[in-house]
Amino acid sequence: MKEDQFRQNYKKAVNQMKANEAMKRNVEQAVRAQRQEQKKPRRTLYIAASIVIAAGIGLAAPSVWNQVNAPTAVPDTEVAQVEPVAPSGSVVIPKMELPDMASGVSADMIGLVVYQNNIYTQSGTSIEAANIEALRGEKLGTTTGGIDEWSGKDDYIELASNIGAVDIYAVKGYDPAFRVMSYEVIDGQVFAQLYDMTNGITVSSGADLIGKLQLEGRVASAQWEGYDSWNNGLQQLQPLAADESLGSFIAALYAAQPVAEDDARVANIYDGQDRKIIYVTLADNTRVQLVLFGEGFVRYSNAPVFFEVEPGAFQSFWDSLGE
Amino acid sequence: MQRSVPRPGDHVIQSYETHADTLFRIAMMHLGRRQDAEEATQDTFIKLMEKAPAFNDGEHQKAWLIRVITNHCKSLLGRGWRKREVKLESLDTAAVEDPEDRALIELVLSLPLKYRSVIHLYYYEDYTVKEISDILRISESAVKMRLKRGRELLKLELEGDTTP
Repeated sequence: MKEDQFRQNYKKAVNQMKANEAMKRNVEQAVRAQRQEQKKPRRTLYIAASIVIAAGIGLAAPSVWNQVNAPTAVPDTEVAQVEPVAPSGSVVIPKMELPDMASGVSADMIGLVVYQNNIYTQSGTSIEAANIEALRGEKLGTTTGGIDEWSGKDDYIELASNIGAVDIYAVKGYDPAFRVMSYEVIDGQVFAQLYDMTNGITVSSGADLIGKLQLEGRVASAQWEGYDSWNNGLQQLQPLAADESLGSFIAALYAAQPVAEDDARVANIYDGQDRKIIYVTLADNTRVQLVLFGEGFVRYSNAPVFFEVEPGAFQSFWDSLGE
Repeated sequence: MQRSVPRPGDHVIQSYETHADTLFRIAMMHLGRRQDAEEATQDTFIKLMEKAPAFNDGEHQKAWLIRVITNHCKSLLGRGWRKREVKLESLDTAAVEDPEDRALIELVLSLPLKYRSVIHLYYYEDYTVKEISDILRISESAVKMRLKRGRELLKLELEGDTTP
C-alpha cells in the first residue's frame, strides 16, 4: 500500500473509535471523588503545616518531598517544591528527589540524569550539532537508564537516567556542578543535550541562577518571539540587537529578586498570554531561552522560580521588543 | 469584573473534552480492548488531576498526556497484566464496522508495541519525527528506525525520498 493511502485509511479507521459518555461520567466521578478526598485531612498536609511552624520558630525547614495535591506544580517535572524563606527574600529550591513509591505519586517525566547524587534536568539552553565538539569536556561517565514514570527513590543510583544509556560529559566553560552534556553518535550523527542542576540551591537574586548561564558580556546575537508564534510553533523570530539595551536588561536580570513559584504574584501567570520569549546566543554558541511575562517577571527553563526585574528596566526592554 | 473561582478538577474535565478521543485511540492501539483502553484513559486523567502539572500551552499538555498514557499502557503490558502481544482474536474492534477498516486496525495492532506507538503518532496524529522523539523521550534515530521497521512490516511503499 502507498504511504499516503495508508495514512488516509488508517485515520478513517481509527476515527471510528471514540470515547463514550459512560467514560466521561466515570472521569467526572473520579474528579468528584478526588475533590472529596482533598477536603479530608492528610498526613502530608500535617507535614506541610509542621514545616511552616518549624520555619516560624526559626528551625530550618527540612527538604522533604511534598506531594500535597496542590495545583502549584513545577512545570513538566514536579519533582521539586519551592519553599520561600521570607526574612532574606531568598527562594530555596530543595534538592530534587523522587517521591517515595509508598506515597502513590509518580514523578512527571522530563529528561534527567543523576550525577554525583544530584538530579540534572533537561536544560533551557540548546546547542547546535556543529558546536557540540567544541563544548564537549571530559567524560564523566555513562548513564544506565532505568528511571521511568514510576520510579521511586531506590531507582536513583549514580548515573541513572531516563534517557537511556548515553555518555555524559562536562561542558567546557561551565561548572559540572551546574551543567553536564549527554553525547551519543548514532549512524554517524551526533546527538547532544545539556542538563542543568537547578535544584538544591538558594536563590537570592538573578545572579544565583541566571549568572550560571554566563550571559553578561558574552552575548553574540539575540532574537525574540511573540506568544502566538511560540505557542503555535511558528518560529517567527524577530531580530533583537545585542546592544546596550539588552546588556542593561541582563544586568537588571542578574539583580532581580527571586519569586517562588507558588507566590500569589505568579501563581496564575500561565493563565495569561502576555509573554515574549528571547533567545540569546552566547559566544560559545549555546542558545539560552528566557521567557518574559508582561507582569514583569522572567523565568529560565523549568527552575521553579521567577525573577522580578526592576520595573523600569523591564518595561523599557519589553517595549523595545515591540508587538 | 469578578472572576469565578475554578474548582479543583475543572481543568481535568476541560482537558477531557479536548483530548479524550486522542488518548482513548492511543490506548486502543496499545491494548486492543475497549474496556482496558477506557480504564487507561481514565487513569491518565486522574493522574492529571492528582499531579496538576502546569503547562506552557495546549500542545505541551497534549504531549504530556500522550506520554503518560503511552507509558501507562506499556507498563500494564509489561507487568504481565496482559500478555505483551495483543492477540488478534481477543481484540475488541467492534466499533469499527467496515471490514477493510477493521483489517487495517488489526494489521497495525499486530505490530510489536514499540513500532505501533511510533506508527500511530506519525500516521494518525501527524507528529514529526522530532516531536515523537520529544514525546516518547527516545532519540530521533530510534524514531526513524522504528518507523522504518514498522513500514516494512506493514509493507508500506514510500512516496519520494523526503519521508523520514
